[in-house]
Amino acid sequence: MAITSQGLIRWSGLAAIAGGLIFAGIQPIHPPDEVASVTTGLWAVIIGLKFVMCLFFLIGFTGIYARQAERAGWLGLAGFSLLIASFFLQTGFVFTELFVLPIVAPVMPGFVESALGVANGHPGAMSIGAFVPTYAVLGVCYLLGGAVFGIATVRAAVLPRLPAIMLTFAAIITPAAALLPHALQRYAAVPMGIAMIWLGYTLWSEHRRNKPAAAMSGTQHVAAE
Amino acid sequence: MKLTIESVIRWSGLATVIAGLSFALVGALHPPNVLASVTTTSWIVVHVLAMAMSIFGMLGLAGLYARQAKTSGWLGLAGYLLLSLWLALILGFTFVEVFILPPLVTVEPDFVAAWMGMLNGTGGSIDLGGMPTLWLVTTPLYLLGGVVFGIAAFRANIVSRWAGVLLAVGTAMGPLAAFLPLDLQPKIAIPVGLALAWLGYSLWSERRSNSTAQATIDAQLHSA
Repeated sequence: MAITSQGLIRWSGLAAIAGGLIFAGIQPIHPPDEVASVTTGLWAVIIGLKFVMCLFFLIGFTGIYARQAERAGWLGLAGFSLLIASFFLQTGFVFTELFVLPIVAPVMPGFVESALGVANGHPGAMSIGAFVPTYAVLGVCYLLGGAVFGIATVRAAVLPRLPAIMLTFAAIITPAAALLPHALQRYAAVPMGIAMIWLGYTLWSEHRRNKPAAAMSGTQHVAAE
Repeated sequence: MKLTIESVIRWSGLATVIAGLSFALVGALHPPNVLASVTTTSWIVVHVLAMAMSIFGMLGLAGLYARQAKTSGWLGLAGYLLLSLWLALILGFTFVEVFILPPLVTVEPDFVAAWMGMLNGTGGSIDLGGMPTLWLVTTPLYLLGGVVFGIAAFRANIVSRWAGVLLAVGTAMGPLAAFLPLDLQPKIAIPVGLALAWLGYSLWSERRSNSTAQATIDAQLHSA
């Protein structure tokens, strides 16, 4: 079977679906962000899934962007770059939560408290350097990236509008969710997850549905070889 | 200026150049993996560069792969996926080295010592859980990914094929680092970084000849 651009983009849709399912699905069972949680088995499972989710999102966003790169223009590129930066940093944070915090927790609970403080909004007493401001950078990239990428996707009119609007909406409500109790805050991730599943499904299914129209603009470039 | 797929791919060439140069600098400047290094400026600089290598590398490889996807076939896809996964895992380790080890070294030196033991293969007094296994996994990802992607680039012959050879040979030389003294080991990254930068530059600079090729094809299609 030959590899084509359409085939790759189609498979990246599957990655977006998987990432979206994890993102929306783990929220109701996510253990509380507190020191006692990090050494539990549930923490290892949920945060492990989150790590996989980050990797799937990196692939998924790349595919969604590639599908509409030309039509989404500079706005699309800006939104895509910000989202990639955001999930890239997220990968680092999740890696820390998964592999470092459980080991450090028994000996240095104060460190873990401060590290979890970036997520639960209760900064710990111990100073942990650049970790905290970097999480703020991640948040800004997520907010701006999601909003801009959603708008660019609506304007490009290649993929369905509704999930694109949901993406923008989900990104914008995230800071507003900070006003809610932390346990409810995480549900701001659900519309983002659903938007990713929807966009991913579109990429995955449109090839069959609409073969001639799915011919992506990059095909001629590759065909030039 | 209108954004085209070609220009996005071309920009990804620049991302690959940045990633490659960052990796070469990481190799050239990396301080030894010992406790005292963690609080130095060069430690931070080198590991921020390593993070840049990860993020620009992933974007760059995506473009590099997209450019030669059809011609490089399953070998190209395998190399691309292996190297990207390597970059994603390396990002996690580097993230800890930038953000976690420096604040931790004064209060919990045992953890940092165990971390260095993991990197140097000497072990430590603290059990690091699944991390040492994951660290071991990065080695075959890097070796196989670099060799396979390099061979695929050579065979595809779209970007500079000799850069592909340098990538394959450079990564294959990785295990030789074990025979070098601790402070020289990171230098083994330099040829690999340069190979990546070369691949990126080749992608970045091919625009003119490619758009000529594209124009020729367009003209042929129109006249047909």
